[in-house]
Formats: sequence, C-alpha cells, structure tokens
Amino acid sequence: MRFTTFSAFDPAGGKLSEDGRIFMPNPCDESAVEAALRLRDESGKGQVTIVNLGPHRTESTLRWCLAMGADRVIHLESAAASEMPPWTVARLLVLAISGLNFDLILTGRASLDRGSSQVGTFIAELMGLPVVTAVARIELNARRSEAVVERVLERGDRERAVCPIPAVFTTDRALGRPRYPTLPGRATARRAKIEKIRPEAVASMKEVMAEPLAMDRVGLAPPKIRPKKILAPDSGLSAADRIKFIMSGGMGQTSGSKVKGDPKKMARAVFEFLKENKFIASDEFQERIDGL
Amino acid sequence: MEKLTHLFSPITIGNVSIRNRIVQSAHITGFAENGLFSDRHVRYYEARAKGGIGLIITEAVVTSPASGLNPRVVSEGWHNEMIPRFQRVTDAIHAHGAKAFCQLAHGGSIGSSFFNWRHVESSSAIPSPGMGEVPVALDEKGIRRVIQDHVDLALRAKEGGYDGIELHFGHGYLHQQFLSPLTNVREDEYGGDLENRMRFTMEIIDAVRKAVGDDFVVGLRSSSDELIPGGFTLEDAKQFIPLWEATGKIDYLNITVAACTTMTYAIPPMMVPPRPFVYCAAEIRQHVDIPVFAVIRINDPVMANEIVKNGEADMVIMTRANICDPELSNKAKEGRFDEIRQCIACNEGCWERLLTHQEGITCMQNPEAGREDSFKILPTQQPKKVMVVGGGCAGMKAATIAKQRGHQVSLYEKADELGGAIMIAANAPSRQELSQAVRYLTHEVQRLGVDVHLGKAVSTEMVLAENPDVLIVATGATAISDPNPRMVGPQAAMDIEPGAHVVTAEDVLSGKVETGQEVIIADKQHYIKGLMTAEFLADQGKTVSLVMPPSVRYVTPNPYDMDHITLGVQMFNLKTKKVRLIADKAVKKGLQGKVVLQDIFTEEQEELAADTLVLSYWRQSDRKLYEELQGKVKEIYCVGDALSPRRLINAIYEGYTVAAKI
Repeated sequence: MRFTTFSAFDPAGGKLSEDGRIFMPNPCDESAVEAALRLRDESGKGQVTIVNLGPHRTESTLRWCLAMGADRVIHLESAAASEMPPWTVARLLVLAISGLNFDLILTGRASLDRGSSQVGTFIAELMGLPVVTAVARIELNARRSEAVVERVLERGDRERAVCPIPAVFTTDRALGRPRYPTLPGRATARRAKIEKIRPEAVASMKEVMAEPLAMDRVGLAPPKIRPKKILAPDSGLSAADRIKFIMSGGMGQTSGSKVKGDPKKMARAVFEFLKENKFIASDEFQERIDGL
Repeated sequence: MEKLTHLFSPITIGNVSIRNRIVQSAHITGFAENGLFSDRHVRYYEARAKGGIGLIITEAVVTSPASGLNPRVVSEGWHNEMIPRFQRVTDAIHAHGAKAFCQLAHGGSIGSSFFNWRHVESSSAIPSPGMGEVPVALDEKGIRRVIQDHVDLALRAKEGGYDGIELHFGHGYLHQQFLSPLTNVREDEYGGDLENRMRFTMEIIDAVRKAVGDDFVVGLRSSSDELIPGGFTLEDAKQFIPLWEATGKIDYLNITVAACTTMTYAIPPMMVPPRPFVYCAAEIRQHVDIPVFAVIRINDPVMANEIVKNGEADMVIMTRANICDPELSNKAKEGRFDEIRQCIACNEGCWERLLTHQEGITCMQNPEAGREDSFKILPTQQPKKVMVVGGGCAGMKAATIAKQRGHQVSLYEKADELGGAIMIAANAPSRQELSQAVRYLTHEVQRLGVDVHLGKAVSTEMVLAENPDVLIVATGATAISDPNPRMVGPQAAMDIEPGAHVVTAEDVLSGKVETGQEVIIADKQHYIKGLMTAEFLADQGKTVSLVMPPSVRYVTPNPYDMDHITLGVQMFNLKTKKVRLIADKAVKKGLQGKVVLQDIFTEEQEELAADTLVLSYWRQSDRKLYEELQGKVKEIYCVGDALSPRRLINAIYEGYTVAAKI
C-alpha cells in the first residue's frame, strides 16, 4: 500500500525536514476550534479550552485561537514535540486534561506533518470515551447528553450517527471555515496569558516520554516518483496499430486533401468543401463561384 | 555545463553497488572461439569499463547444447573451460570500476540443428515462425535437465567472478515459449493456466537462487509486449511480471519487448524513434519494488538522465551507444556532450554483420569497436604534412585521425560546408540521424584544430604547389544519370528517349527536382537508396512503383543486401504507404509517359505508365585527382567513395586505417 506525499523529507536524517517550511495552523485543527466556538456561542454557555502539544513556534497559532474567541489556552511546550509518535502525543495530552471538566473533546482529523490520524482515537481509548472521526457537523441536544454528528465519507457522501456525550470527535475541514478574528480580539490575544507546561519538567509526563514504544518505526521513505504522463499505445489496440503508434512517435497521420492548380480551380474546391461541411449556406456565393 | 546528477548517482542492486545508472545489456558479439569467451571479449568489455560505464551484462551464454548455434556467435555455458575465461572478462571489467553480470539464455525453438546437428527443444512441438525447425517438446526429465543447466551455469558464473546473473526470460526464447499460450499447448502442469505456464520459470528462479545463495544478484529480463497478434500486451505483463518479483528471489527487472518475429523492434533501426519502449519499464516500475532497467534505442545521456529523473526507470541501458563510443560515460560525466559519438542505429557495423553474416561486430562510426587490440591510434614518430582533399566522412575521418596522431593536416572541401554525399541520404525519411556522423566528425575537425578550407575545389596544380608529404584523395562519387552501356554495362543499361522525364534518386532526395504523379523507380543497387527514395516520394503523395534489383544470390529471393532489421522495418513502412513493389523485372526503356519493363527470366516485355522515371544506380567514383597525381606525390592514397562507391562504414574505415598508418 502506498501512502502520502510530502515534500518535507530529509533523506540524510531519515526524518521530516523542517528547513524551508512555512508553518501554518492545521486546517483540521482550526475546524475543531471553530466547532467548539460555534457550540459555545449557539448555546450561550460553556467554555472553550485549547490544549496543544508543540514547540515554541506554535504559540503564534495559539494566540490566533485566543483571538478567535477561545477562553483558555494550555500549551505543553516541548522542542521534541514534532518527533513524538501519536501514542506519546495522546498520552501527554490526556495527562494535561485529566483534571479538566468537559463535555466534548475536539481535535483535528489528521495532522499536516505525518497525517497518521491517530491522536484523537488514542485519546478516546485512553479516557474510555466514544469517538467519532471525520466529523463535519455537530448538533448537541439541549441536555448535552448526546449529539447527532455527520461524518465525511468518500466522494461527498455523509454518514449520520448518534453519539452519547461526553465523547471525542475528530473534525474534518468540511465542518466549516474558521472565523476570522476581530481586531479587538487580536489585541486581547496579544496581551493574554497562555498557560505553559513543560512536559520534561513534569514527572508523569517525563516518564511517558521515556517509555519505549511497542511499535518500531521501520523506516520513512519518500514515495516513488510517478512519472509524468508518458506516451504509450493502448494495449487494446491490435499489434500492428501499437507498432504504428510507436513508429509515428505518437503522432497520428492526419489525412487531408490537397488541392493544386490554378487559383480559380482552388477557389472552387475550397468553396465545395465549405459547402459540404456546412460552413456556408449552399446558395450563398454560388453565383459568384459559378461566374469564375 | 549541465550535470547529469541522476544518471551518475550510484545505486545498490542486491548486494552490488554500481557507480552510475548506465548499463550495457547482453548482446552477442561474434567474438566467441568455439563457443567460449575470448581475448577479443576481454578487450571489448575492458574498453567500455574503462570508459566509465556502471554495469556490463556480458553477452548471452546459452545454458544447454540444444540451444547452441554458430559457436562463433553464441557462447556456450555448459563447458567448465568457460570459468577461467569468465574470470578474465570479469577481472578486466572490475579493474576499471564497473560491475559485471552474466546473462543466461536458452533460445528454445529459436534455434537450429544446422551447426551442431542437435535437435531443438521447446515447450511444445511448434516451430517458431521464421526459424522453421520443429522442436522436441521437453518432457519432465528434459525440464529437470534444463533447470539443472541453469543452476550449473549460474554457479560457473559465480565462480568466474561475476557480481550476479541475469535470467533472460524474454525475446520469445525458451522461457517465453513456456509463458505464452501461443507457443505452449502442453496439457501437463507446465501448460494451461497462467500459474502452470509460469511454473517452468518459477522453478528456475527457485533452483538458481538456492544454488547461488543470497549474496549474489539474480536479475530477470522479460518482454512486456510481444507486439504480435494474440500475443501478450503490457496490460498482461503488469499482471505476471510482479509475480516473479513477489517470489522475493529476484533483485532487478530488465524490461524489454518482442517475441521472435518482432525482434526488429527490440534492436530497432534508425526509423524507429528513440526510446520507444521506455513507457513499458515505467509502467512496470509502478507495480514492483525492485529496480527496473529501461532499454531500447536510448542513445543520448541527457535523455537517459531524464529517464532516471522522471522515475521511469532506475537503470538505463545504452548498448549500441556504448559500442559506438565506449567513452560515452566519461564524456557525459565531464559534460563533454559534443564529443560523444552518438549511435544512429544504422545497424551496419553491429547487427548486420552479426545476424546476416555471422561476423564479429564493429561499428559504422567506430572502427575500433571489436578491434580494440589491433586498432589503436598511436602518435606518429615522424610528423608529416598531410593534405586531405574532400570533406565528406572519409576525408574528415582521415584528417582527424592524422591530426590526432600529430601530423600537420589541411582539409579541402569544394562545397561551402563539410559533410559530403551522406547529407543527401540524410534527407530521406527517418534517415536524418545519418547527419550525426557528420556532426561528430565536424566537431572533431574543429576540436583538433584541423586546417579547413571550404569552398575550395582542388586541382592537380594546387596539390603540386602545396607539395604535401601525404595526399589523401577523398573526393567521393556522383550519381549515374546516364544509363548507357559504357557506363553501367549492357545488362543494366536503359534506352532513354529524348523528352522522357528521367531523374536520379540523388536529385529527388536533394529536393532538386519535382516528379510527376506516377513514379517508377528503377532500383539497380542492392542497398537502401531505392527503398528510401520510394518512401520519400510516397510521403509527397506520389504513386510509387519500385522495380527492385535482381536477387543477390542465386538461391535467395532477397534483392537487398543490407541489414535485415532495417529492411524488415522499411518493408513495413513501404507496405503501409502503399508503394508497389515489382520483383524480377528490369526497366529497359524510359519513354515519354511510360517505361518498358522486361522480365529477367522470360524476357517478356510490358509497358507501365510513368510520369517520371527515377534512376537508382550505384555511383560513379570521382578519381581524377588520384589518377593524375600518381607518382607525383610522395605518398598518395585514395579512400571512400573516390576509391569505389560503397557505404559510409567503408568510408570511415578507410579514412581511419589510412591515417592510422601514415
């Protein structure tokens, strides 16, 4: 089975290269933030808390989320974050949110770097919660005891499911465009305090990071380049036609009729052609041509 | 300067690391001595390894006596005496940093009892079209024996120092005869459905891998499209080739095309566009995880680099390209692209000599090919003043070799540019690559600093005034436009009526004349001129009839003495373009609006309508200068068409040999 296409592969280090990359918020995660904000705003009550595991540079994204209207941001800051496998990421996040009260945990369906799509499901497993992935629409009931969700399937199909709350939903960008922060929002965000946790400094988290994985990564390799569309004869053609195709270098022989002779003869021939192929009406110009 | 980074990136196949992506594939050479590798093989492969190539797959060695043919042409793998000979070849290849694989082959029904009086063996008792001899269908015991033959040869190759072997399962040979339902009508477990038909090859793979172990490369060559009605296509190949890979016992795939009758496309002549079947390798590569080799008419290292860069193949086979210029890899690596002598797929030096005449290969452009021991350019002990008259290929070759040796050389050409008569031939459809020979020689003339005088017709007075130490006359030949008996002999002569429209093939190809609609070509020469002129005129929309020359030999109906492959493809072209071929007749009279043909056996005459009669005779030497200056110059030589009008291969050969010895 062949996976993925990213250009950020560094063959020397055998890992993803961060050189020359422009970092942007993951659109799936942005849709999770948007979903949370919408649910809070529609019901008029509740709090949106954003928890992130990432290196220092993600702070600017987190301030953007604050500017969108998030109430609280917790940043587990670690330079090693981008190399951590999904299981470790999930365990650290679970440790960070274990003390918090929540109805819903929302996260992006997949990350932009390795795109394993596992963190949300691991969180649900670790916390014993139901999980629905690739969610594009959430409707909570009034009592917040269950949600009707729509999931994105292939080729535009959707699936509807009912899920008890509390739960974990991983969101797809089809859920909707994240709102654009207001100017006052951005000003507030700049001044706001982001709660920082350094996983290396928390004993339980340090233990998790030191644990050997049950899974070995065998290798990371770029995909085989798919060649540009190459000229090839259709295998369904006869052998002689396949050979003719090769011999012609893929160019077809266009058959046309050549007219030679005096200008009047050529004019008449062109006229006949135009008439036959209905480029001109049959009686238009006939007199003029006959007069030649 | 462009750097071909992809072509020159190393690669590891199995446990063998190869310095670049350039390969010379297995091609029979005609150098064998009693079926064994000879010193000629050693020198030949050594020159290519020295030239910087990454991998050499040496010529096919047949596994079993039933597959033996001419022991000068087909190497025989069942002799233990091959082992030290293998060793000499692999030592020479390794000494210059290249790697060596040995190809194992078995022709099956593509064989003959002509040479060793043995019967031929195959999957079923169906003769191969074109070879004609009915084979014996291998029974269970025979299959065991053939598999053992493969194992024995693989072990000999390993002991002889090879880095790996290539199993040749393609080109319509024995293994493809088992694979294809057209040639396998067996009813046992080796015939029937695909799994059964692949059983023979699977058992060979298992046995060979078991014998050689894991530390030895085992590659596989297969056709991917038979190109025959009812034969397997690329779509089929995408199904069965991965099954061989899935055994886990194969280290690479070498993807070719063709079955027996379509081999002309596997070693295609000039009129087949370059890299015609790379798409097969590219498509197979998408379905397998092991390296894939692309092959067939890839003559340009820049093109080869693109193939690797685009992911179409991992290795690029440039076989004839390396026959023509063994230093191709070094030159390409150093960016000296213009110095590469590029193969033009004329097949004259290589395939024609080998397949039509069972002679060792050389090269039209490279007389040293196949003669690496005896043809060497040595610096002269005594620099001489050399005057070369005639700037065609014979003259240019003589001038450049003489200059390279240290002589003081001046080259005179009466036209405004160098090139000579071959440039007329280069006007013919798909023959433009002939001008590549001129391009290379012109570049060498400039690179070496030969003193060139263009637009200068040379007279005897001029020569005497120059007083050279050596005069090389390479003044070429001209078309025969007057077919009178004194010129062409009574048998080939024609009566031409005044007012009849009669032109030469040379005039037609140069674009100097416009013919009428109905054209008759009287072809009196046994090479390619008439065939190309016929196609040239057919492309212009003329109605063309080609009156072919009489057969060369008493017992064969073939009127043309030329490379069979080029002839085969050209006949296909003429058929497609509706040229009428007339055999066993000769044009006797050219009249206004018609010609008179005479049957060469019955002498019956008939008239054919013709607006234009095109004369395609041999040519007439222009030897005036040579004859007049006999005894008046210290050393005088005549080379190429000026000596006798023949082919480009003779012109270059003579230019080389004369200059190499003065």
